[in-house]
Amino acid sequence: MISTNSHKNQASLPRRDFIKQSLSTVAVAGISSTLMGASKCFAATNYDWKLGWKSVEQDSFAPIKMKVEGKLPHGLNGNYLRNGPAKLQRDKVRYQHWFDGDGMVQKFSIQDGGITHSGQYVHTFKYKQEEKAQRFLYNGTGTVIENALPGRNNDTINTANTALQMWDSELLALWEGGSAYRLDAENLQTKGIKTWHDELANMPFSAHPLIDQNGNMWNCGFAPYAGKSGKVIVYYIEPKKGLQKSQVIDLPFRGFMHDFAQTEKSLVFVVPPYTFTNGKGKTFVDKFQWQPQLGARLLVVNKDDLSQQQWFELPAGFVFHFGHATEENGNLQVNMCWYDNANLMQQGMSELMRSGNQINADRAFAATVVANMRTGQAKLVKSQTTLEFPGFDDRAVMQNSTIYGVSHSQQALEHADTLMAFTPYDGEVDSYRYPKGVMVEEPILVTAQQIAGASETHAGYILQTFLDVGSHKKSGVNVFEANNLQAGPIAQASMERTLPLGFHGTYVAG
Amino acid sequence: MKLLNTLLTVTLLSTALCVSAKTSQLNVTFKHIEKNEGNLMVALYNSKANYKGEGSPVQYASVPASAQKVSYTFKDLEKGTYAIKLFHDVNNNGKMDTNMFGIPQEGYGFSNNVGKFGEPDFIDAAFAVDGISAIEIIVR
Repeated sequence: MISTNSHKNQASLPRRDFIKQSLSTVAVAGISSTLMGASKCFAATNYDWKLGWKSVEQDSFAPIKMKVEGKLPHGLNGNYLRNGPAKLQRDKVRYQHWFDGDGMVQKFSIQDGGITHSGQYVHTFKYKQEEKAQRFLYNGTGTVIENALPGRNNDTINTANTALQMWDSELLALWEGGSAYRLDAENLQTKGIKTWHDELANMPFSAHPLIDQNGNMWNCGFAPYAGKSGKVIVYYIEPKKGLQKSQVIDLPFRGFMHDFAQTEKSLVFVVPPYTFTNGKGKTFVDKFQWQPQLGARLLVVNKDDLSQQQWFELPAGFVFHFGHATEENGNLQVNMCWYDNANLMQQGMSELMRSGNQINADRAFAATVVANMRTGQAKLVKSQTTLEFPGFDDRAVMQNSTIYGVSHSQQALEHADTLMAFTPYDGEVDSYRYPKGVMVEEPILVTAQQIAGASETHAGYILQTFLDVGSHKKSGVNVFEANNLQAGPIAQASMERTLPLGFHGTYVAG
Repeated sequence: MKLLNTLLTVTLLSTALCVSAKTSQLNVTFKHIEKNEGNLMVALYNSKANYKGEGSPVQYASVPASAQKVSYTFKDLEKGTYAIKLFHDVNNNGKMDTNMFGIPQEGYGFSNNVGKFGEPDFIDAAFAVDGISAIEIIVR
């Protein structure tokens, strides 16, 4: 067995240099080209940003071996699975919103020092109908389709395109407006919709279920359109036993919600004042409007008794994703990626689909909400660090836990180009910036528990997929040592097959 | 001869009045029926107030959902503006089943195939009936 230290101190440094060199060829090519005349310069620096939102035509990607540079760590064997919108266009009709695309699962199978990529669309009801018709049949969440068929309920337009979760030996492809889809984790074939209880059929089920320390699942479903002022349903699910309890909670206003956080005792939500109140909106997204005068709300729900809820007032803001949360002596701290407004939803997504750029939408900053459960007061503490797609080690959450995510450097305001480790407790940052032309996706932490033969103190590895839209177009996966991102990747697997950017993934060891 | 002409004119006029008063028909074809069980419960309205629930439909029908596409004819209708709501009562319990957020669990439809995020307004579902008319509704 090779120890963690031997990886870090002996073998990895030359590998890092090798990979850094290889990654920097994009930037070098750009500089060289300026010496070769204006036309070639244009060619070399004409980054094809739209490649990140290029529709995938075929139903599946056959397995291909990726080119590995550096050396994949010993003991890192498993499947890195990612989900994201991939059917973004049919014939000449292109979706206007990133969320509309049909979900495709990308599988990076890591075995014996090699990585094989394959992919498969989730065969949702919508995808199957539209494959048959060879056109988009239904309006998307943010796109009006000409002569669209009316849909019965949420699951009619369920794209299963947002995230993945292993549960009871099945891979769940998650959306948020409707049911999860069940997939075979090995061959990615779709088995059907997951209904947790007959009375909960077609209910919203978020893309961000949380697994607690006992291995049980908490999730919620957001329904800003329901009831007098919107509702959220909370689910508690145990392995093999299924749904154990659920609770519907009335919202103070119809805010758009996406994710939530947990402590040992509580579930924590933010309701932003981006509300489902625009009666003139033609699509689901158009029906939301920014109403900062409402402020935002923090909701804390007692896991033992879901009817016990505490509300706090917050300044107006918008949140997609949460980091870890802690609770001690009535003091709750919850980390999140905080936007000062909802521009990203209102303009940013359609801008991405049109141009591949995102210049007119504000960025999220790492922030912590500190709530005093005794006084009912909460305050927002914002950092100066831009951060999205946060992840953390959920085995032992502490106040000083590190959040991994993506960030924007000054050189690439349009796209996330930086892998970031941020510790909210003291503001410590470790980061790795990619060369211009490389867009990065959600990083994922592979913990010591998931690495064969690793000691308990092993810091783990970060896996991060990327898309290089420069002169050498490729998709790939980088492997970093989790406690030393700035050193750069220790291994990289890449392929000429390029993949559209996606949302969230999961790592399944084995 | 003049008297005969007068009588004929009166007769024709009264016949025309009868047609506009009670003899229009509406043939409705229901498409995309998912399960060939139960009945389509179809309500035909001729006013916004009744459509909104303040009164009763002008006619209603229970149509067996025996095929993917079935049809029904409303007879003895006055010329005018109408709107239709329907649901597919698969389990014959007399109501449209919904989950706890009010999301439909059985098929339903509206004339003009309108309605997103809830029931459409009468004006959006409204259509004209004059003589023999026909429409198609997708059971979503």
